[in-house]
Amino acid sequence: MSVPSLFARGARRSFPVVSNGIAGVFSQKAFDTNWTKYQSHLINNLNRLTAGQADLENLSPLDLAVLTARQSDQAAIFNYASQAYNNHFFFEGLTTSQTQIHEALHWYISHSFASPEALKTEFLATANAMFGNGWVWLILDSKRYIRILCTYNAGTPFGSGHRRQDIDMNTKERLGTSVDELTAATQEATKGPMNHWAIPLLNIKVWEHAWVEDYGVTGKREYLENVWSAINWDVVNSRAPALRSQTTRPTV
Amino acid sequence: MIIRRALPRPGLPAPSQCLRFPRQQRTLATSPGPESDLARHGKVLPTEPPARSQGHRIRPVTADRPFTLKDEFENFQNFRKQSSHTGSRLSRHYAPYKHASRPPSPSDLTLELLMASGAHLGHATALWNPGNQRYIFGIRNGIHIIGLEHTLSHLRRAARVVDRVVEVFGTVLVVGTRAGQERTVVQTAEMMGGYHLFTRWTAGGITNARQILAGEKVVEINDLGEPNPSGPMEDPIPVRPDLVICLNPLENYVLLKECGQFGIPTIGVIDTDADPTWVTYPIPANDDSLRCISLIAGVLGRAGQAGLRRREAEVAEWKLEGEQEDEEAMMEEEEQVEDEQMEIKNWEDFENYMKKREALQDEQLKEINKIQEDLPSTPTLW
Repeated sequence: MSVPSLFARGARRSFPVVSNGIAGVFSQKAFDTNWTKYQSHLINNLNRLTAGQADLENLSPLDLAVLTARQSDQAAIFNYASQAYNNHFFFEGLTTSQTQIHEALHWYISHSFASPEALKTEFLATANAMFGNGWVWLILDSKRYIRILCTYNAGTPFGSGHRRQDIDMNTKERLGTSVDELTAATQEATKGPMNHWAIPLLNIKVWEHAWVEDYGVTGKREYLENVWSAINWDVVNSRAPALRSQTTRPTV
Repeated sequence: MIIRRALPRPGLPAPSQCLRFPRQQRTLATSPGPESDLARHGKVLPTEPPARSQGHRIRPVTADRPFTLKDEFENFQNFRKQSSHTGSRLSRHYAPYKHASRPPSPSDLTLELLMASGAHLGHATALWNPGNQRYIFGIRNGIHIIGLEHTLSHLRRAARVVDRVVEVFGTVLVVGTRAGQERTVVQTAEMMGGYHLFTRWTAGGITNARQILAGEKVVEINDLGEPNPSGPMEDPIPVRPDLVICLNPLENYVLLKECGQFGIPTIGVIDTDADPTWVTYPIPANDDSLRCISLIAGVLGRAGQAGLRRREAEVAEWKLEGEQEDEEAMMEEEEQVEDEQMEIKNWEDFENYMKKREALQDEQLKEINKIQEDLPSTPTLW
């Protein structure tokens, strides 16, 4: 993908993950829509909104999202920043090649779920049950449990929970596993004290424009199945903290 | 409390080492051994130090134990490294505290960096000090432009001075009294192990030090960093710096004049309206830009840090030599003791042996006293 690079002060560009689409999930056109055009749109708007503000224009999207999560007058900046992060995080976790779930991940999964299949079922069922646009995350908390979190629209698991947007506004209910303990946990995931942290391992895009082009407006379930098959478990494993055993501990 | 460095030379042994008695190899059979003493007091000491292979970690790390604080920190760092820049790619940009927190070293300086920091921007031409003529490149937009080759060369020279002064245990004072310079001044002083000042210099702090600093305690410390165990000096001598770095000479005329009177070399950032003769090592640069000042102070701090590291390495070597001398002396004495112990068979022999030992120690003490008498009068060796 050739993108015009803007080297003006504070300008940002994103870089492509896969140049020929994610075969098996997105067609070339859908990939173009979801990544090339959409990410550019998000970043251009972010540049536009933060232009001229010296304290904002050189921050990464994650830092921007956390910074503006509590400012209602900067909600637009938050939305674009959070969405840019979430979208890139999603595409980073996809691949065209087959990958296996790593041993360490197996341990984490078995600690919280009956099996990887059970995780898949619950994860995709939660994503399917979400009514409206959003993201569904797999989060690892400090007690080594994997938890499922739904964030509607441009909600983020970071930033003290002010813009987590995990409550369905129609039913006032939360989907996914119990996330009460996450309120304090995720707020420190980006900076601050490290106790009670939570780290996102994986997310799936549950925005309608992700599946409507290839699968039609009713094709959500099929889209989710295809996404699960395309998950890059190597990347997910690299995000998860490594488990150490006594034999592999490096000597000081 | 003011700390002053005393000057015992590192080659001479400290008295504590010479007065040390060697360990006794043999005890009388009827004397209580060390084990029963410990048992009486209820302490059980480990016979071996902890295994080095485990490092600082004592408990095994397995999958089912919760993360320790160290694990959590590493996880956090890993996450930040991996995922914090997700979302876009930031083009190169200036981070305001970059040079404050990680200043470049003198060898990493470039003219482009100085220009980007605004070091070339002088004052209006009408306000110039003609003594700066040699440093001025030209005029543009009604201001004098400082030649950056002069800035670079003078800054490198000043850095070399700082480096060497710190290396030979010199006291450096970093002064910057303008608003916004506090953080820079403190950081620079910390990097080189010196002292900082960001408030007004009290006139007479050098020339009238006895009065200004009356009531301050002065504790001597030797080159190894050990304070005098007998406490503060009874008749404190005021401390004067060996080098002063001034980031705004225009506002610190009194300080610089006092330094001149006492022969204390000074380094100063000289703008086009400042007088270059006020300091020993002028650095022609823009003193109104915080970015420029932060860069210059950072470079000097880096240079001082290099000198400090070399100094610490030297001190470590002295300590090691001292320990080796200790060991050798102990080994010699042990050999002597072993030779003599072969002859002890009864009480008389033991008494003779003890007398010989005491005679030896008396001789050693006499030698030490002789050495001490030969020394010029310096603060007490301890």
